[in-house]
Amino acid sequence: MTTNERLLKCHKTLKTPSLFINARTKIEGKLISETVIRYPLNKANNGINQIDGIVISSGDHSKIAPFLVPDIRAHLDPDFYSTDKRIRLVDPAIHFLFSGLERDKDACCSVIEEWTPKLANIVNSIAEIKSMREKIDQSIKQIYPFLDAVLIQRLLEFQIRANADILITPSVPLSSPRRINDQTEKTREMNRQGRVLLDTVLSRYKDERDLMNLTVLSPSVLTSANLDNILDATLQGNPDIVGIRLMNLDEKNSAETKNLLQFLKLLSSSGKPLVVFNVREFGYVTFCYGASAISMPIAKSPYMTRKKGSEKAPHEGSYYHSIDMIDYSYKDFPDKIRAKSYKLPCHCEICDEFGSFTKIEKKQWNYFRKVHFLLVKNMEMQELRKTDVPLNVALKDKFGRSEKTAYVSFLP
Amino acid sequence: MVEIQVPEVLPKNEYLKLPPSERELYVREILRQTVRKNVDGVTASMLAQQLPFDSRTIEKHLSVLTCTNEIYSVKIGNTPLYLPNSIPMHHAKKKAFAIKNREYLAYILQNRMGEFVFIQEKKKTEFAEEIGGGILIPLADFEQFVNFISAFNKDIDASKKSS
Repeated sequence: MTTNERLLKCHKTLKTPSLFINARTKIEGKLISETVIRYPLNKANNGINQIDGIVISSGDHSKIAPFLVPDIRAHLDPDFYSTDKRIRLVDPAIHFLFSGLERDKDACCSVIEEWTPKLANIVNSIAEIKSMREKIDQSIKQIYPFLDAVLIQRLLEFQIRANADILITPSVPLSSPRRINDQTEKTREMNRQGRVLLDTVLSRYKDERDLMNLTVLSPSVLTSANLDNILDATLQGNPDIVGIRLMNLDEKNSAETKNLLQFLKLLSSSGKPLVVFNVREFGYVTFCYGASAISMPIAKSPYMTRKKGSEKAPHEGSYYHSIDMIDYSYKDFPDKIRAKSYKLPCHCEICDEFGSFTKIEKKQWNYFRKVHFLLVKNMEMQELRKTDVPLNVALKDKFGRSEKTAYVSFLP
Repeated sequence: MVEIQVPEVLPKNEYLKLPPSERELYVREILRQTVRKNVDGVTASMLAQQLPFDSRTIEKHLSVLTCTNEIYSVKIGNTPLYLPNSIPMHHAKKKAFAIKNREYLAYILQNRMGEFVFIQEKKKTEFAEEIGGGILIPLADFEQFVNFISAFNKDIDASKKSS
């Protein structure tokens, strides 16, 4: 397929299709930076040169930013694709005030408490509410009034200071079919205000940064009755780019997934580049419905949530199998490759270096599997960008050979 | 009520929450955009009817925009009609020159009074861009103006040497 390019106001280029990586921790920031340096262009598989963007939540920014600084190598070698040359997005991610892990909620509160010191207590007290219905009602009643023009302005300024290449208007999640009208109305209002603020009090950046409206939604709200309302809210304020951040996508629910894909198709018909956040391999399907770029976390499920007091996840995370296109846990992975003398089933640079599962020490495992994930995603993007056949045909072939055959039915 | 084109604005309760300096910037920018959108001109009362700002605020900012030559007014009876000044005639002839946080723009514009060279100063703060001032020199007399500036520069040089 041919790769389309769009020059952003920051003078970087947004290619279609593109893959962005969502870095969450200091270790992941370091790991991305080290992978860029360790596997440069002259190696067989291009390192991670096909990964064109890095997404950071505002609450994680201070931990990751030190690894995204300009690199002297970029001056010596024009092909060196340093982290600072890639598109940087700093997601205000205020949806964490409403749902998600406690760590994310705390990180988000730590960013905004400077401007709205009372909000953190309210968010924490609402998080304690057991009934989901009551939690949503109280969030709308108590948190929404704090999400005003001043907070939007501060969050846009935060992104400018963090050298974000595209500014994201903060918005509330669309998660409740029962309260969808209140949620879309607030989204619409915030999107409108984001544009007005950029054009007025942040006027220095109106011609230097694209503005993205990023709608955070659970696919369950995408019913035919709500579709126009959500579309209108997402496009409010004439953004340069639109984004959709998915919460709790259940790919097994084919009706909901098909609704989502139709929604993306409608949204992309607006002619604005569309970025789909928080997806894994399913994101490739969205390319066939108009997505320009997708953003995925490093080697983990985007929808994992743990409640307070629940059992901790195992320390050793999962390995992404590049042919099966699914993750195998540290416990199950050896069984999968026992028949082949534990030979690693992948030819990315780091798998070639280790060769066998038995050579990877337990303490190296998480580092190894995450670098492997980045390298494999790079190979997958290269494959999708260079395919001679239409993208849907290439993906049908790829998913058909994997454990993700269910995705084939979603492809046009 | 005469309909005029207005840009998207913040609701009154939201804009009033902005810190004073940013509120000033905001109101001025909205007025600047509104006058630019209405090339046939607007009056202060039209603006007061359709924007969420009170008349005194509007008049104050209109006089600032007039002083910096971003807009100009013509009298229709007793009512001043405000018109946009800063629409360049030839984008290709727009030139910019930066000194620290200030940028000087020069371009040719045409308004009801004729053709002018517009020299405008833009001040850049951390997040915003403000117009510091602007002068209009009739295009036909621009060469004379340049000669005057050159002569002035020579005087400066001479006084530097003598001291």
